[in-house]
Amino acid sequence: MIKLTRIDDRLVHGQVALVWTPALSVDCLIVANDKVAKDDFLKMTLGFAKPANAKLLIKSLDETVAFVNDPINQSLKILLIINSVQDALTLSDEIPEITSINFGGLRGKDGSKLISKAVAVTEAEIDISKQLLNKGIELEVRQVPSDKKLMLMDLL
Amino acid sequence: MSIARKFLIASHGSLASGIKSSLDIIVGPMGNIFLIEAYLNENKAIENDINDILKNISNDDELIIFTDILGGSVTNQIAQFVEKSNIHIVSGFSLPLIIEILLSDTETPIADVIETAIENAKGQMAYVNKLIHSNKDNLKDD
Repeated sequence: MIKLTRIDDRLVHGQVALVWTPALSVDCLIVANDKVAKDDFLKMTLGFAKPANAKLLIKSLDETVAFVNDPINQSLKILLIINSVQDALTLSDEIPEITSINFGGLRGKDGSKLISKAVAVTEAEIDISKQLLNKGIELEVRQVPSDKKLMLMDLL
Repeated sequence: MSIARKFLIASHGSLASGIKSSLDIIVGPMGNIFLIEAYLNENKAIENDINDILKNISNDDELIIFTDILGGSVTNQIAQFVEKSNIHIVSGFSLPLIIEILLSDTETPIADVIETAIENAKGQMAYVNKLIHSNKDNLKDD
């Protein structure tokens, strides 16, 4: 069962491993990312962030879809982490369980607009976000669990 | 009702507020955290500072005190308060150690929380060069 789907361009880091993991009582972190899944060095350094009480899986998007949709894994309490809005759309097309997406961290890039302390989005990302909203998916912005849940569209 | 846990971070100089600044970023602002920064302005004992903080702690609260150096004067002055049954002193603090204890489930007994967090925090200390190199060697063996 997915407890949270989070967009964070740093993927797993201190905040995710040490703060979100206990706050959500999750026992399985899945990093879904095609680039990282093929890169042994990135996999290793992300692995250093593994929380003591949870397992950390690093999978391609396809592998993630198969894993999360497999009834055998239903008993896991999953924190699903991706690093882009595009990947959120790709996964939500295939994983019906994704009904809400947390915008946790997207650092500024060329042409992006800062909409909260830790989230900056481009026009292209806003377009994708609208597609997600049209599918009935909640888009909320929180960096840490104690932040007030703000809706992405209210911040644009 | 679950017990209220309160926290005190005590250090020589401004390490305590430095750690607090990191906590504000990583965890988000939290109440219930007191600080003692010894010897910053004058070379005086911290006993009064501790007593002032203890006025905020009722017998139903638990106070977890993080100190910088085991055997250091900050820890030693605080150690005098160890006989109070609701005070727990943890020395040699680090950021991951404090985060784990701050965010622990208040239903879990504090002694268990502290023991586990200390073990996990030890694992956070690592010679990263060695970790990376031994991992690379393992990858070659696959």
